[in-house]
Amino acid sequence: MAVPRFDQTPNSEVGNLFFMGRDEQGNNVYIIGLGSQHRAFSHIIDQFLKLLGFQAEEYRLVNCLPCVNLTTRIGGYSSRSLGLVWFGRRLAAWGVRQSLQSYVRLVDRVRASTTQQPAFLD
Amino acid sequence: MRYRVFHSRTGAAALAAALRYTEEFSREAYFRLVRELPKTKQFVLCQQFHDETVLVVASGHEYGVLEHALPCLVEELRPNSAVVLTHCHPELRHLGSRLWLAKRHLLPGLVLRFWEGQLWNLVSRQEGVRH
Repeated sequence: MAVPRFDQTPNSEVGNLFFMGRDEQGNNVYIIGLGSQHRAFSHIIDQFLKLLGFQAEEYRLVNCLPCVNLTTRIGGYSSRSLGLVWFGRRLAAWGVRQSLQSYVRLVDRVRASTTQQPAFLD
Repeated sequence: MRYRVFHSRTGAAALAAALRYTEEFSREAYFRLVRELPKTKQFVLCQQFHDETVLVVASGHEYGVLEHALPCLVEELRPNSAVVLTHCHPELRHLGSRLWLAKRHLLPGLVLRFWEGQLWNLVSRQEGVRH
């Protein structure tokens, strides 16, 4: 729960790009929420990045939602939609701890990749 | 580099606005491209017009997310570029399902022509249309 911006993005900021720091290779790391149309928007943003002149080797756009388990979804819904922040945030964090290995595997896959991959968007 | 993104729920109104903007609005051009619209995961039109890249996309119901995301990306990653987003109205209901049926030749000719006429009347009534 001490992770920066965990369960803190209001609906009005969905779509905003947040800088989270740099990895050990000096790459900038950002997060962006894309709402319920995340699948369509992630493809659109991927295409837009190419239009901005980025080569596939220069960026990684990764959909992290496949790592999110039911516990985290219920926690997030409780916090964001029902206003039960104290309960929802803890439930969401507990869900992340439960599925931590899937996040680790995703990060390892992204780190090992040499180029952006369509599979990262789904 | 400037980017001009026209978007609407299904993309139909946005496509008409973009073609008007690039001075290529004709019934033939419009209907050639409108058939691409169900592909909501990509820009349907992408072309250069003077010093701008004109883009059209179907933004669905949560277009506010896209209106935040694209300018944020440009501001952070390409600060020397600019992006202008225009949300377009009006929209034809059930466009996606009608296009799905039309693509599979499941709409009788008369119904298809009626629907195309309806869509054309809707988009050509928008301001600034030249036939």
